[in-house]
Amino acid sequence: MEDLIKRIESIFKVLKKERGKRDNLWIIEVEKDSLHAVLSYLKDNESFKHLALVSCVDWIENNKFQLSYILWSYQKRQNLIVKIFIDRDKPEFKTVLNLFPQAEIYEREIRELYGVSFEGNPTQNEDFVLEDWEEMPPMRRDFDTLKYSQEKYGDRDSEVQKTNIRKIISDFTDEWRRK
Amino acid sequence: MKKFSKKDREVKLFVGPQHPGVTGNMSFEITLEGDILTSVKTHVGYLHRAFEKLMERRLFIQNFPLVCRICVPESDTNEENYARALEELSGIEVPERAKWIRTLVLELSRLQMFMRWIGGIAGTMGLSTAPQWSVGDRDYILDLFEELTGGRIYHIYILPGGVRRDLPEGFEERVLKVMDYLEKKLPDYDDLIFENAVFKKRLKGIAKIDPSWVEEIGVTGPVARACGFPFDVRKEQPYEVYDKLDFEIITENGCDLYSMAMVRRREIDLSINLIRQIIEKMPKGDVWTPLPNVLYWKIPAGETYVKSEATRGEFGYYVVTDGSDKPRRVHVRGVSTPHAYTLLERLVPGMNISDFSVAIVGLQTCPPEIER
Amino acid sequence: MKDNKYFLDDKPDKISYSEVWQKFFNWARAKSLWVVAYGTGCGSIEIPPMVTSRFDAERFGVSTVGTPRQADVLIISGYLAVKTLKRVIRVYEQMQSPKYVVGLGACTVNGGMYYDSYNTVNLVELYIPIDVYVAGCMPRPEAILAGFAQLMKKIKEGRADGWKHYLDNFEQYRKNQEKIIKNWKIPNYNW
Repeated sequence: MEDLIKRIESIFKVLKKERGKRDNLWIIEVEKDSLHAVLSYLKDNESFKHLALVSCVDWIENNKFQLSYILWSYQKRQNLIVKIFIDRDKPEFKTVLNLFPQAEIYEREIRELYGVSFEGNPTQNEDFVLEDWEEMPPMRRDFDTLKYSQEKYGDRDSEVQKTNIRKIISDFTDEWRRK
Repeated sequence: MKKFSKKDREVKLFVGPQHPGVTGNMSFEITLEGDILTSVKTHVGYLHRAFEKLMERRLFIQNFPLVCRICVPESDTNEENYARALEELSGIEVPERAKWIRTLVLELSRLQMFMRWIGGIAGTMGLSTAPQWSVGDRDYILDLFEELTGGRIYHIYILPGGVRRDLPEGFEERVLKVMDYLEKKLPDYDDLIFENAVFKKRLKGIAKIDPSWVEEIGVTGPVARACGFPFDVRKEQPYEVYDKLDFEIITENGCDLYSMAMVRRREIDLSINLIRQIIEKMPKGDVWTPLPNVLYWKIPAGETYVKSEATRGEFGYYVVTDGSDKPRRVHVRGVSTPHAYTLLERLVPGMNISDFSVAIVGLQTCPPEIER
Repeated sequence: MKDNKYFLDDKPDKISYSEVWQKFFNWARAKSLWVVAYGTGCGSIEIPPMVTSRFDAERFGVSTVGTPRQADVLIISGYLAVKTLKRVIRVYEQMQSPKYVVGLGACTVNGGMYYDSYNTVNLVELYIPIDVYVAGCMPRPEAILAGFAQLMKKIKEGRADGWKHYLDNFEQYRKNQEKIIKNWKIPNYNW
């Protein structure tokens, strides 16, 4: 595995390399612009053919989004995580759909939950899990889900809880009728 | 006479969101020409609970009640994966006996999921006796879980550092008794379902997968093994004690739904065999490494990707920590994500409409793990 | 709202019978409850054991049916995601009166462990009247059957009146629903 990292280093610029906590896991950070070349090289020459996951991490304190591409080689039995950082203010990147067809769904998910757009992915703007969502993308760190939930769906510990809801609804209706 | 264009002949039909064979809600937008499907679009989101967001707000130990609900029928795989990820990141050692107990629980969980699946696919084809049998027999395994952990569906039994408690006295015998019962019952299942002429006619040659797609779009599990592709995480990257157990990867060469069903049928035998091996070889000893105070438990910064073999394929957890007492990011790789989207889109053209529901159950799609 | 043909835009008429007939109807209704086979959350994992050989709900007259138009009971089995809530309201309004709703699990009562989730409803009763709650996560099949026994008792005594409440207070329920669901157009992949 160390040979592989050396081979990658000889061709591409590796910003950071790190051995995982397990023997067969390595994590490398590459430059944003060279990601497609790295993935293409790994897929064609080093048998990393299985893209298990595309994930996104929000590092709000550094104003960056991290995109991780988790690869697996059937022959070498090795996991490799290739990660890049993109600017949080300008969340755009290019799709890897031409290399891995299953990335379409993962990218659509990241587009919806983090707001990172992937140039070249034709279906990225379709709804994935949310419908009629109007707020900021919900998985971003600055989105307060508790506050949103309390405002929209009612507080779990509110007075409404402790009394008869049906009576409250009827009271509202009576008031509405009187008007 | 008026000529109809291709567009006029096409009909749109909407399937879902509820299907009794699928464990959860997902809907499909299918386009038909006559009774032949031309394309499909999958829609999920009916079960989205925002687990990954909620996990970022809770302590590491508080997340255990959440993770087991990610894939409802197979909760132990989630717990084991998450616990193993935390152990890797924080460097906790697990006692030997705990690993064996974990493997036992995982195999029991796999077995009950297969029994549930038999009910699903047979019910889809109108063989309504089979669900009555298999879901009933599955309850014996759930009873074992209830004795061991206190819960039928959600166990929260596997925790970082081991398991919650040791096996009760005489538990091994009761497991073996259930295994004996199931083994006696399985020939009946073969007669009723797997050797049934209706079952064979409905499944043979349906949803033919091109073996080259397996590597191309990341298909795993019984679907990949039905194409003769020997990929099983239990063997390729052994976790817990699978490297100490003696078994072979099961493959078939039909590439169709019947081969997938037969892979699962043979995996039932394999699971029973593995459970017997585990009970025979299980050592004595501790089951628990005490954790630091879990309310102030901080894990050093790092990231890892752990995976295991669920009934449907490679189930993975990508965990990122930042040195605080809460995870930075937990991303779950749902097995059926590529199956329900990319693979299904390729399988559907040319399929008859009556085979469609069989195909989605045959691929064993599980919506809760796609959307979390 | 008015141009939408998939949801009720006004409350339907109510037909009233004499008390004797009402009692007879209630007695008969309690004996055969058909459940619409629509599981909304993780609670639907315990429905197959309930209706199959081991717990066999059919001995109480509880059986599943595919279409909401023939069903009497809607089971809200667990948390309701916002996307599902819209479909559940559509299913509920399609069902013929009298209709009853059973809420399964802690998350229907007050949000349960998803109280801070941005996509699940906390208090289901604000949007749909619920007749019987079955607590637990997950409730065992026996608990669900006990819930059904309670529902039968309520029906016989004429106390299962959630559907009447929904009709009487239709505007208020609709107002609560509209707070969450902005767009009432059902996408055409699902109606």
